[in-house]
Amino acid sequence: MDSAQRENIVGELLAVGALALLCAIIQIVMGDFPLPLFRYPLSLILFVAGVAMIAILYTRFGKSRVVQSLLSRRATWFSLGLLVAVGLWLGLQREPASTAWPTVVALLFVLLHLALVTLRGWRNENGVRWRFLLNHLGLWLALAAGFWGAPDREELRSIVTRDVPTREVFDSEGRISRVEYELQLVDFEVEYYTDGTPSSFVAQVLVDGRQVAMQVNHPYRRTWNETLYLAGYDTAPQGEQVQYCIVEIVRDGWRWLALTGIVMMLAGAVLLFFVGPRGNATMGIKGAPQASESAERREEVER
Amino acid sequence: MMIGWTLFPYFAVATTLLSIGAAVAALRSKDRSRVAIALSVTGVAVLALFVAMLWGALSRPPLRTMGETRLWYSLCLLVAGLFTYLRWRYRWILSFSALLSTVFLTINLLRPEILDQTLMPALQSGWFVPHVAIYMFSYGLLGCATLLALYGLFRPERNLHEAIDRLLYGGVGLFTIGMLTGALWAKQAWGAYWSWDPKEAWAVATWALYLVAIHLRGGSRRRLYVVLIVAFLALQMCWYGVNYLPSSERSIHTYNQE
Repeated sequence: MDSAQRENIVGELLAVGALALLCAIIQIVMGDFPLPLFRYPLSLILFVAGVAMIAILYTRFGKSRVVQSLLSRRATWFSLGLLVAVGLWLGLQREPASTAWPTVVALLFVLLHLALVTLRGWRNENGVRWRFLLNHLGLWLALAAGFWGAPDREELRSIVTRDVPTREVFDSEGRISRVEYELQLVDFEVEYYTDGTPSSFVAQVLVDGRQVAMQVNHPYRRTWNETLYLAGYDTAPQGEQVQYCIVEIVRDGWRWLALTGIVMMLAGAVLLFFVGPRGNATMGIKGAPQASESAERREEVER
Repeated sequence: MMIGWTLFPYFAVATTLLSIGAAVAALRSKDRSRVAIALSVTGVAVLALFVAMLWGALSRPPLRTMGETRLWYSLCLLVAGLFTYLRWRYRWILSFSALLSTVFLTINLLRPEILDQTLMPALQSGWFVPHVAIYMFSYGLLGCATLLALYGLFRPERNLHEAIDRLLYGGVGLFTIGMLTGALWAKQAWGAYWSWDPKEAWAVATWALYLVAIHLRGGSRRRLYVVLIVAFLALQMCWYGVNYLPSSERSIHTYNQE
């Protein structure tokens, strides 16, 4: 390791430390990340601006020390380490703090690193590296949809009864609002196993005058960005008529971006399984952790 | 209805004996042993037959309770061990996979879960079987990679890289598919691809650790072995360890609790 490299590492460590400290202070002073401030159209503007910034960073400042640091192996280890940390952190808590500042900043760093690495590695002199592209861009799209789309996601619940149609919905904090259409329960069928636990339940619900059968695992997509789910019902004793059910209305336009990413990753994962390590014999990308050595080459290096 | 599980001890003992026999035959033979392969295939077939019978007897896929997933895990581990033996001819791999699968079969003998035939509506989905079965096969491959890594730690002169890489890529590919099918299913059932449920959060941590292993290129073998072992420990948390954490109170993945 030469002195310039050592200097780089010291700089990186300082930057990471300063950022972590800043996160902690902001979290303590301001509380969780103010998601609602970033609703559409701001979310979309920030997404486009983010993509443009990353592209400019890579094409115009690709040789700068900061970008080189962000593209280094160390940044890959650090990103994966952040993912492990976020997983452990959220996995151990009783209340998931997925909108705490440290989580948000960690995900932002992962997104930045992943985007730069994807831009650098998606092709080499042999052409497009499809598996690399599917896996990395797919993950980026799925994460980005969750990240930039989080402010726009709405989960509203409505108690739908038999006697009167309702427009009233409430969000997770109990705030009440109204939707532009009416909901009413027409019929509710429950079937039971012999031990008394329900084996299936189906709600017939009038949505804006149209009768829809709603079931767990079978939601009703009302528009391109709004889907209705059967989220619960009054657990009346077996044999008695169910009086109401709970319908959850999810508004999530970014789902299609996430789905694109998921489908790409699925294809990439299938290739990982079937092609295996041999598909990685892609040379010519200096410093990329995914690149270069085939198994034999690696053996040589180790000897 | 109980026919399935009452016969389990016979099948478990038969499979255990067959796979131990295969392990011994493999250890004693210099080259690839036909006897070992035949015994191993029979052992897998016996256990697979039991799974099929249980499926029929329960009239639902036997993939819900911890006991049922352990059954699949034992089966997948034996298959992965056999595959590794066929492909790379490590004489000792069958002993390891036999030992580990016997451990899980024994847990099932001591703590069987035989009473539950119900399948709650949330699990009645086309995603259920692929989601869990793919995960179990992935755990089997990754378990085998871990066995190789453990062996490599103590026998550093052996070259295990090719086999470990193959198992790792296969296992991580399937693990990723398991996560993604889970995300697609969650969207359909609950309306969100990802909600940082404790099991999902642990799956991210586990997955990222395996990605570290995949991205390790060059450097010492020892480092790869250590990462693989740590990742496998995280996998155990993800699979059943989360059930014992306080955070499992808010988990929506609690169908499998004992």
